[in-house]
Amino acid sequence: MKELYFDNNASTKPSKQVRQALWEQRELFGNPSSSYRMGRVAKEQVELARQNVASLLNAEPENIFFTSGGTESNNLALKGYLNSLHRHAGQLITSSIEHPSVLEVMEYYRAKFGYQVEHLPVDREGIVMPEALKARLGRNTKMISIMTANNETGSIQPISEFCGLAQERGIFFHTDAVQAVGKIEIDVKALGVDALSLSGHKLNAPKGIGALYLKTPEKLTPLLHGGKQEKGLRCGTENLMGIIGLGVACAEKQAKMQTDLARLKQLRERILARLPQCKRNGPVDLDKAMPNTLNLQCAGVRGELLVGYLDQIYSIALSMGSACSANQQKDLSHVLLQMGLSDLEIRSSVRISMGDDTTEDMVDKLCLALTEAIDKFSQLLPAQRQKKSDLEQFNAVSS
Amino acid sequence: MYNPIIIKHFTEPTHVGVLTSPDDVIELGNPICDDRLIMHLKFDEARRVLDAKYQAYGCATAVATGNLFCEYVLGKTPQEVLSMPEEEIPTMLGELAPSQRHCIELLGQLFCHFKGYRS
Repeated sequence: MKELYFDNNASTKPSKQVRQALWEQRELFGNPSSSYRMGRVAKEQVELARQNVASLLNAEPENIFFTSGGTESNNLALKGYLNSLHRHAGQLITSSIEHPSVLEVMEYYRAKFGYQVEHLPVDREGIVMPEALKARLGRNTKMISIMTANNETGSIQPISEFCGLAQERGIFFHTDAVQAVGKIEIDVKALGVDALSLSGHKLNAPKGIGALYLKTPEKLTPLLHGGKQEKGLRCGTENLMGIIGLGVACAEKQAKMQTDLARLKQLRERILARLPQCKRNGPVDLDKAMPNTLNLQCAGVRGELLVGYLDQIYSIALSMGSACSANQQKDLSHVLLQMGLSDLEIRSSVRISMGDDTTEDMVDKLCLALTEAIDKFSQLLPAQRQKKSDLEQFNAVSS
Repeated sequence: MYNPIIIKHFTEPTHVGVLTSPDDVIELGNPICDDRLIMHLKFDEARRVLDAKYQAYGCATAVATGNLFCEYVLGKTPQEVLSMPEEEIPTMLGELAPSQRHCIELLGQLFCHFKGYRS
């Protein structure tokens, strides 16, 4: 049975053009730092890719730095900036729905150096309100990092408004745009960000490659020492094949951005029309959500059960909002929790994330399979289970 | 992720439902996972399990556990149910991932309930 992949926010398949480019360049192994022809050719490929990444972001090539992926880009942006400050003290602001590679860096600086870290709340739709940021900005705020789009709900944050507030006060602003780049238009100049992270494998490039946009690279200090690659900011011999793949993917995304947006919006509408029993988690206004992402509550049926069933019976790949934990602790999505969803709502949630290969036929099969699974496992639910009060009462007795 | 025993029992559970006049109802839960399992049992005159139905709110392994236990107890007296050596009870579910092992406890609780029938 053909696998139906609906987990593109986790990773994407390298596109045909990317695979073709890598195949064509398979004999190119020269070190881009070498002065002879093979090195020069490799260097040309790196710079071509840099131009493509820059073009997608409306940036200049000299502001693009290749990394190993989103996690490294986030670490480099945050640590590289904070390490350049003369003394460690002050306030860091982020949102409560960030990726761990932002949250845990900030926690590290809190524990190690005593920074005060503010986690901005999100509303029921998963949006950080600019007023919340404004209320927490202080004279000692050193950095703000807020993601462009959330991986679980697809909620798009008002980054340009946040940047405006940061710029007025001269505060360094970083955004983790891993889930947004290549899917919606990102213009770093219009947004005004100081730093922006992206990841190759989220936009149909290979894994192990990413990039960081820096408006003023000289503000950062490197995390790695021992080479002059990437102007000394990220030394180590370049991941040539990854960089070539990323460049091709960025060019491809830029060329078909509008077509993809229209296609994904239409597919999203198609899913919502076919799954009326599901309630969407995320922005009410669909224009504030990534068009490829849907987070759905499935009529009280456990998401983990649905994901397992669809995988086993239909070879459909989805992800879920919670899973059983091995350590006797609840393992619920921190994003959905921050949005104020109940345990029951979170446990019933699944994420559908579409990509380049998603078709109407795939979507129809997904909806039929999900409907069948929800109907099947609804029969299994104890009737009173669907009432939250009963659940809480039962748990109180059980514990 | 799931072993063949779990896959079989959670993808095609054969004992789902409730009995109109059960002789006993078992209710179990796990507040961490929010799992809940309700099992209805009917016994014949010889105290053999005549019918067993269950409903569950839980993960795939919890759903499988309920079905597997219904299948196991059908036609057995409580004494026959309890003839399973305790150390072998976890093996009924096959090899489990760490996050699925809480269902061994669930299965143990179901067996434990049958100890009450002995007297």
